[in-house]
Amino acid sequence: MLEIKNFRISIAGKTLVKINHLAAEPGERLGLVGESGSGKTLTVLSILGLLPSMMDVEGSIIFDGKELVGSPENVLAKIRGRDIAMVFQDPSRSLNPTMKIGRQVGETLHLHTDLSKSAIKQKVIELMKSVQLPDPEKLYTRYPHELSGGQQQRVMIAMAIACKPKLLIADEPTTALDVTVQQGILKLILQLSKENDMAVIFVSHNLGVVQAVSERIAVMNSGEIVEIGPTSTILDSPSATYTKELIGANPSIPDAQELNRLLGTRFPTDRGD
Amino acid sequence: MALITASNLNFRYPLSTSWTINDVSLSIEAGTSVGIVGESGSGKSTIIRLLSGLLTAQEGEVTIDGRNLNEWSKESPRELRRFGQLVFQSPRRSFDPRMRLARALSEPIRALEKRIPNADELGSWMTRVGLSPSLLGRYPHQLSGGQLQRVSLARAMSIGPKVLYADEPTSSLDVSVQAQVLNLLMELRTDLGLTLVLVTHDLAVVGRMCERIIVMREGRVVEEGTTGDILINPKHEYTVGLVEAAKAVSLKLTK
Repeated sequence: MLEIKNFRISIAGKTLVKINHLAAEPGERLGLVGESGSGKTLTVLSILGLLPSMMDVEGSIIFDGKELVGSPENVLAKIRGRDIAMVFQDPSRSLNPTMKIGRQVGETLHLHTDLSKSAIKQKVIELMKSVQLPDPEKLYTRYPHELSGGQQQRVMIAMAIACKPKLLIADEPTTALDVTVQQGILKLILQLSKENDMAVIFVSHNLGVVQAVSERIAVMNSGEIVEIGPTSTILDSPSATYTKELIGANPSIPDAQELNRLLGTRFPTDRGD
Repeated sequence: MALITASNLNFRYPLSTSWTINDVSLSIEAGTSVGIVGESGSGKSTIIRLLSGLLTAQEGEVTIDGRNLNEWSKESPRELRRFGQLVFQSPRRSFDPRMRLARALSEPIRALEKRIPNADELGSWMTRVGLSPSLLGRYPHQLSGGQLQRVSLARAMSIGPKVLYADEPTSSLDVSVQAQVLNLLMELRTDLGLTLVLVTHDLAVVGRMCERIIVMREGRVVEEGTTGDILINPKHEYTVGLVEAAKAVSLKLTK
């Protein structure tokens, strides 16, 4: 469904991202991991044609049989929000602070469908229900600042799935959220992907989060994909040195055995307590 | 004897109608490393500002090393600052962008010891946190986030505090850099015999850094215990949920 080939993003001749091949099947959940500056966000922004104009793009991105690289703005605008949707890291910065929630969620429907005003309102309330927002009729007329961070991110997801996109790009969608809220959002993305056969590209620096949602993982470092494969293979038997280092640096919650070991080595001081 | 105790603290920010810190009592033993965990808005950052004397509670009392915090703060604020130092989440916001690192690093010594440290002294602190003394002539924007956080640690350590309060010190850093900074923090703590009070939302970090954990929610302490108590056998319903949620998104490896 999505195929990126011989792809390069550069600025003033300096290569920022170079991808020989990266593909996603319909309904597949692909994790894109790496540290800041590894090129994850540039890669996903380029799929939507949202890169800053000073950056040069070469190569090919084929989505649903259509070439996206070099496509005119009006073609990309039709794809954005309808076939490919995106959820960003910080919902409070992605929502328009002066527009009520209901209108914001309905915007994509206004743009991409011929539904009447009342039909859109109906649909928006259904969408808000499907992302498990409490009391959608009430929230419809609220402003973003009146919602919690988790609720705002659910609104972003409702906007993203409004037109039943084939591909959802989620760029660090839970990084700004508390851990209990994070789990809810991840479950929601997983459920929506399964129910609607929606492919997801999940960008994150957090391997635990990516593990929870992705079937395959691509590891990026310095603008290149260093390793790609099924989630369990990448995490349990990584072949690239960089992947091993990245896994080693991701702290997991210690179990009882590990805690005992830590207590013996890290806190050896016997204070008699 | 406990080094830091708080009894029945109540605190609200100006114009706020509810208590941000609501009847909190806790004690921290000398030389331990204690993690304060909780979600955004639970009051974990506020509590270390109260314990370090940056904020004053409307009700209740904090004692440090047996002395009343408010009285200490009035009588000899410099000595109090020297006793406990803070490191914040964003190293970028903790440095004056127009001040070279040499000057920024020397500020606590200038302010609290009333002397100007020489280049060797500053250089040795840079080396201590794994940085080259040649960086001292640079401005904050010329360093990476991880490098700057190391300088924050050096700056906090330079006046020999007994307690280090670290408020999400690695949340704004990349995961590999986070590991390096946490290792450095552990090293400094052991070498200098510091008491560490670490505020974080990350249970994996606290599980590896701290002996004891205090769980906060909506301005109250809901549970307190050893790291094992909290992570393996949490008692309070909220802690159970928090630990479960954190485990669900924590990396699981089969080997």
